[in-house]
Amino acid sequence: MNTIFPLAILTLKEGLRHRMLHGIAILALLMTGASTLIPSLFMYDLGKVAIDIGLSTITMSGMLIIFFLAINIIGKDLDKKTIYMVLATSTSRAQYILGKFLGVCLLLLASFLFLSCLLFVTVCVLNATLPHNVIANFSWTTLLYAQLFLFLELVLIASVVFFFMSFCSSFYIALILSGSIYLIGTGIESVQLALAAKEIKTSAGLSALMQWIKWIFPNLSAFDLKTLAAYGLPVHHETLALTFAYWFFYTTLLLLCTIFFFNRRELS
Amino acid sequence: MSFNVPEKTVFGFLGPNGAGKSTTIKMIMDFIRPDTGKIHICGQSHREPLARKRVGFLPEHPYYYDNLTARELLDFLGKTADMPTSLIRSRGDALLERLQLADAADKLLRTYSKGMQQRAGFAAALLHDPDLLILDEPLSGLDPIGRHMIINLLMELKQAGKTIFFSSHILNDIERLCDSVAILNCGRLLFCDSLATCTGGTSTLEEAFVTMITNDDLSQ
Repeated sequence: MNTIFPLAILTLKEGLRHRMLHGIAILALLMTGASTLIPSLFMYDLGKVAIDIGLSTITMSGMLIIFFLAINIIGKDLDKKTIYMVLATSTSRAQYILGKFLGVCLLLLASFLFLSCLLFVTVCVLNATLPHNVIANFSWTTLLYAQLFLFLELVLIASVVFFFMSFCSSFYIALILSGSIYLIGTGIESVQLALAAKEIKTSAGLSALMQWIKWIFPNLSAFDLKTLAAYGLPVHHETLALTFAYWFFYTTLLLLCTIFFFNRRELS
Repeated sequence: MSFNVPEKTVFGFLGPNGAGKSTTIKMIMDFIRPDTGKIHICGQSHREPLARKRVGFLPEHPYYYDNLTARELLDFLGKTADMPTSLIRSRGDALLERLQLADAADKLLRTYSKGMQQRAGFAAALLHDPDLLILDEPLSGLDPIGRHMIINLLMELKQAGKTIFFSSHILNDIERLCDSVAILNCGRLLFCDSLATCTGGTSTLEEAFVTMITNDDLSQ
């Protein structure tokens, strides 16, 4: 840990001072501002709209941090050879990956905590000023779960980015591949449900392929609890525990694969 | 190629452009992997991260994190080297002072000139008081004052009994500093012995170097 933690702090500092983060922060603040103004344009479901926008802001900021800021920071390390400075110490490549990953997670956590606080304030203001528009069965616990699982989803996507960065020669390729995985991951459950409901006619081969895809690609819809939070629906703790276990194993496996490929990479 | 760098000596690694000097250094530092062969640093395999604990490294084009200050960079390197905070601070300050970077210690590294980045790189390489210094073109990008400062520093390190392995195109500097030299051409080791043996006591290093490279090129 004597190498991983200082490297994580270094990555966090580098990220916090990056101009790109300042742009992301301004965009997030504008969206949060909109989440207090836009609901007043709606006749009803004001609380739902505010929570939807607030959670979407957290997702969007996290995505921008991962896909642009984190890829930029790691890509620069490899392109400009800043990595030489780190690996010239007694830091192993595995420690480098874990340190950088932890740093990106801390960056995501900082953004997450900041925006979550803003969402908390927005919901409190709406509940106080427009009490007749408070969602029936509104639950802070469900909202907290929704936020927590959103953060876990962001960490998982960050591990996908690290996985591709470990062997892609260009960080644009890593960006495209990770973006594709994100799109597949968010849509996979809808396709599965449609297939199960027999809304789409498929061949046996395609069904088998879908089974494989389901196992290989991350099911990101599992982490999306926006609907539950927005409608104040109850959460099932067994489902949450299974989703957490899924997140833990998927992220760990991806990090192990990242270390495996990065250990074999030529840093010329 | 096979060579050994004796302890407490200054070892010059020479060769024309494209000879393979930087590639060899990258292999020693385990940034790239040789197809065959073994490399040992202070008796340990170079693949062991702990083998680099006693090494200070300066790359050919040092590039550090843009949004960090020199002091933060040294803090990070000191922590990875398990140095106590007070020692990181005292040794870091002394090195920044010695390399005339004390006034810029809290400025972001992206505002540094190329020469200042090179000197910050020296501070980074020397912070943990390594026994072995591996320097890739350490004098490139420095103005005459900076070169003078670094040459004096290398002389002091030589006096202190450090082992210094460095590549350079500037043969005068190699002649001033080195005890031994290795000469490389197209990835082949042409010579590896003491500086006196290389020059034969009669010619200059430049003459000996040019003769060796020309003869090798003609023989290919």
